[in-house]
Amino acid sequence: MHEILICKMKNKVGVLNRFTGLLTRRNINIESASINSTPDNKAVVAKFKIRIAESHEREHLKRVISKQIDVLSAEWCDPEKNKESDHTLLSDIEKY
Amino acid sequence: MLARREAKETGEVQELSTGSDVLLEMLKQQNVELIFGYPGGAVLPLYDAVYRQSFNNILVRHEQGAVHAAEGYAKATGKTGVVFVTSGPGATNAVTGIADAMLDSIPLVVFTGQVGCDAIGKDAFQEVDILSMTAPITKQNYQVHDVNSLPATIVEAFTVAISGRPGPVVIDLPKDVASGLPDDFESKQLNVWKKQPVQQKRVVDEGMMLKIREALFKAKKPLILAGGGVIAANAIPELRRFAHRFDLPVVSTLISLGVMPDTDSLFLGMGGMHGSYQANMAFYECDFLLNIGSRFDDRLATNASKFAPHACVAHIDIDDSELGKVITTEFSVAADARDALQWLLTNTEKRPKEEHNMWLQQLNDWEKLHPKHYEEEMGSIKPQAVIEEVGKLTNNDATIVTDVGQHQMWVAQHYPFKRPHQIITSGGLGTMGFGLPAAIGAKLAVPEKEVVLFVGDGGIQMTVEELDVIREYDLNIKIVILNNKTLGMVRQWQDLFYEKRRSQTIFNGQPDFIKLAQAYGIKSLKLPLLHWRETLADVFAKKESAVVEADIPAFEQVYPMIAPGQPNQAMMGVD
Repeated sequence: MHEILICKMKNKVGVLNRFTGLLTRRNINIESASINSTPDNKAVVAKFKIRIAESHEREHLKRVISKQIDVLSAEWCDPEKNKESDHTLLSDIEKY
Repeated sequence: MLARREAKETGEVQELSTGSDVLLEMLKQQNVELIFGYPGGAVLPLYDAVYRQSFNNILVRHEQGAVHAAEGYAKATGKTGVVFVTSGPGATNAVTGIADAMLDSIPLVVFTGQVGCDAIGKDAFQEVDILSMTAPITKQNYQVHDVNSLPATIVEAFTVAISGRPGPVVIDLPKDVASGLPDDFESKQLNVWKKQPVQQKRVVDEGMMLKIREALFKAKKPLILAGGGVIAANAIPELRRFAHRFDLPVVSTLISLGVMPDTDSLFLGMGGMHGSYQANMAFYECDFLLNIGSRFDDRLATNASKFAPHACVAHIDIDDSELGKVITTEFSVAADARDALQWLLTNTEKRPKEEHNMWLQQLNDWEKLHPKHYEEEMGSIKPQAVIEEVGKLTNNDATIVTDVGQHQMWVAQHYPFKRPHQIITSGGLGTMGFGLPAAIGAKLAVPEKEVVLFVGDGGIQMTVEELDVIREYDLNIKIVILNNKTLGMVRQWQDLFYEKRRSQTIFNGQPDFIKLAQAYGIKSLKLPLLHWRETLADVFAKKESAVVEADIPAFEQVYPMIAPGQPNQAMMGVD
């Protein structure tokens, strides 16, 4: 099942590296991602579309991500409500 | 070298502090008394400041040894251990120790040298991307690009390392930052950083604690599993008071041995793969299990789906990502162990002891039925007997360091621990070679304590070079090599689960450990078969380091043992 994870992280070098390492270790692939900095440039908000085989791993993964020093928040959200962002990403890709 | 410049107005030559000087000043402000390290090209500025400031650096003989020594120091005291290593191979040699500290939640701040900022990413000499390498095995890591941000980074690193669930932090320090000239730092300006950022403290969830209290009252067969989190939270008095007020039996993990004295009637011993019979049977039979500060490691809960099958399980842990990770629990509370125990002590009235007298009697019967034991054999020295004898010679109060393998489990079973911070061992990562450098760190941390290292003939050869540090600093450490001429634990698994195909686990040749120790200038002897106890007593009577080698039976097994994947009650080696 596809899941959408929205993370707010500090806008720092290496933050994504640490984040994606947590997914790699659990053999979770990122199927799409969109990342933008906040208006004050202090943080980034990232949306990741990923597939998780076991639903009970959702909560554990969220907690592991949340405890990272540079992660300000992490939340799962309903994939249906985020179709728009997927489409935006696709249209961006098509431009290239 | 110290940077100099001519003052514009007077022409006078001024000596200026470099980034390295600021770094050492910050360490002093963090109450760091000594560091463990090894110099190299990228940390030349740092070691120049160490020289100029006469900072106490323990010069190890290998970077892995530096990190394990810092771990030993941290585990013996609860303070943060500090390490300096150079870039490239210096940093990669430190990786095993950093991973070890991560798995056992040990607070460390490791400074790795790095090539200058301009050379990063250009495959410069001794350049590696240590940030990427250490990301999964650190709580946090930093690379400092501006010398002026060094103080804030250091304060944050120390705060992160020790707060919440402790762990290692890496600060990668490019050479030009270490030698760079910061803006004018006056001491009073540095004082600004003394004040550490306030850490958000977890509030105990009272609603959930009330439910735990209710379940505890209903239980006929309650059990506490006390893990390393109880020691990290300095919650030993609270745990002991709580257990005794409600007559609750307690099982420890390997890491938390000493949370209850071995002699305490409520202490059932260590649980898990090589745990005591009564501890593992208690897991199976209990109807309420309160886990405080243990992560249900697979060496403890050997089959998660069959663990504590009759129990309502409550889990209290400072790290909420541990809650529900391995075992599905009825009640889980993300809280500091001490806060949670204090809440229970304050809000739970004493109940009559007889409510679970039958349970306490059952536990007592199990212990009598299968006490810890081993067979004495004529013509051999049993490792368990050596460990028990060392217990007697040290009044059960020595700081005990182990390496990894069979001897580690025999120590856990047979040394009568009685206080926290008394066992220093590699639990989560199981790092052979941990013991010798960790013993050095422990002795430097608690010089007033007798420090004894138990190590196998395999593990001693992995970090044997650190014997030179013991000689150099004249450390009174007793090193007991339990020599069975095999990689005993792996051989035991081959015997039990691979039809005795002893692939690469028998050493066909060994160095003469006595001569090897003598080459490092340390007194050494082999225990004689006859009167070995008297010989051991002579060694422990002297206040000097010594290496004692005991030839033990090659094929001695560690029992009880739970085969991997089997439930806790399925113990092998219990008659």
